Order: sequence, then structure tokens, then C-alpha cells
Amino acid sequence: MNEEQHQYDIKTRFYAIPVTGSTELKVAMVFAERTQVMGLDVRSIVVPAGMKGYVIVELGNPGDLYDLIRGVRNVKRRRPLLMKPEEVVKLARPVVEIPELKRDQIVEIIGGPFKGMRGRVVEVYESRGEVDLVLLESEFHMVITVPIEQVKLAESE
Amino acid sequence: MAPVRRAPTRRPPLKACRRCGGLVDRETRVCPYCGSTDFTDNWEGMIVILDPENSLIAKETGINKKGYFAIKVAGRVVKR
Repeated sequence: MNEEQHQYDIKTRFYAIPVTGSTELKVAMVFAERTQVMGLDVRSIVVPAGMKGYVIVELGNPGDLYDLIRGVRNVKRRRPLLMKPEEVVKLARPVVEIPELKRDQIVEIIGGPFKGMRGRVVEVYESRGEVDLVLLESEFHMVITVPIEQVKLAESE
Repeated sequence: MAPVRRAPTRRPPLKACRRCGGLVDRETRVCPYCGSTDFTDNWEGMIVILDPENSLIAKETGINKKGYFAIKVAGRVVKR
């Protein structure tokens, strides 16, 4: 338990700064510019995909937080929240992991009009991010093309 | 030539590289981070790396360059 707690550098602090909804990307870009101009110790800025109304900043020196957010438009006047590194790392990683697919693998479709059906991989187009499948549940030979993030490997029986 | 008029949007005019997730201007042809030419407008979330040597997020996500990166990119096959 203790090892887990100290696996990250404890000097780094993460703060979630409340901002007006839909302005997160704009505010993050202002923060990035301000960091470079003022020479603040901000190491990274995260705008999570599923977390509206917050911009997370990684600070080496927590004293720079005030200089970072002072007078920036769309930043709310609420106190920034201290976050655990584990939580921020979870938010910064892509949520959907795209599987590595090969020919003749059996996959399950998890999105789109064919959701819930199973298919056999015919061809994988990595550059386009699409995959050709033959539907197993269809009565006739039917090849469909679906985005690669809409399939997952079926569990082997 | 008359300038192209775009519909007003709150999103910054950036596109994401499908290979590394790097965010670049719409006019850029080649990704400055990985050299790829495969881009998409369908991306979500952003990470700005300002100090790649000391940043915990840079270590955990495997990004070792300064810059803007997308968290989720549609159709990305190669993981960072």
C-alpha cells in the first residue's frame, strides 16, 4: 500500500481548475502561453475528454498557481481542487484501447448498426482505421466494413 | 484568392495525427512530431507537455516531446 502511494514523485502537484464549460481547450492554450512567457514551473496541462468544466495543471512549484490563473478569462473564482496523480494519469490515457487484429480472428461488434453480432476478420486497414468482417450470424456471405474501435476480440471458448 | 470562410466554432482549428496524437494547425501537411501525413479532425481531450523531462504525465503517456497532443483520436491503431 505504501509503495503504491509513493510510486509517483510527491513534489508534483495536480490541481483541477474550474473553468466555464466548453472553454477548456482555449483556457489550456492560454495557460501554456503564459507559462512560457512568465517562466512558470508548469510541467503539463490536461484537458480530459470526459470531464467538462475543468482544466488540470501539473505544477512543480504550487506557488505558481496564482500567477498562472490570475486574470485569465473564463476561469471561475472557485478554489482549485488538489487531485491525486493516479486519478489524473487515468484521465490522460486514452479510454478506448484499440485491439490488435489479425485475419481469421473472431470479433464482437460493440457499436454501430451491427452491435452485438459476431464476425470473422477478413482484412485490416490500419491506415484507415477500418476492418472488414464476415458476419457469422448472417444467412449469406456478407462482408461489412466497420471502424476498428467498434470491434473487440471475442472471448475464446 | 478570397479567404475561405468557415462556420464559427468554439473548437481550436487543430487536427490530430493518427499515429502519435500530435495536434497541429489545419494547414500543416506533415506531423512535426512523427513525420506522418495521416490526420483526422475527430479527436477529444488535450495534453500540453511543457516540461517533458520532469512531467509525470509525459512519462505515463510515453510522450517525450514538448507540444500539444490529443488524448483520444478516432481510428488510431498504433498506441503511444
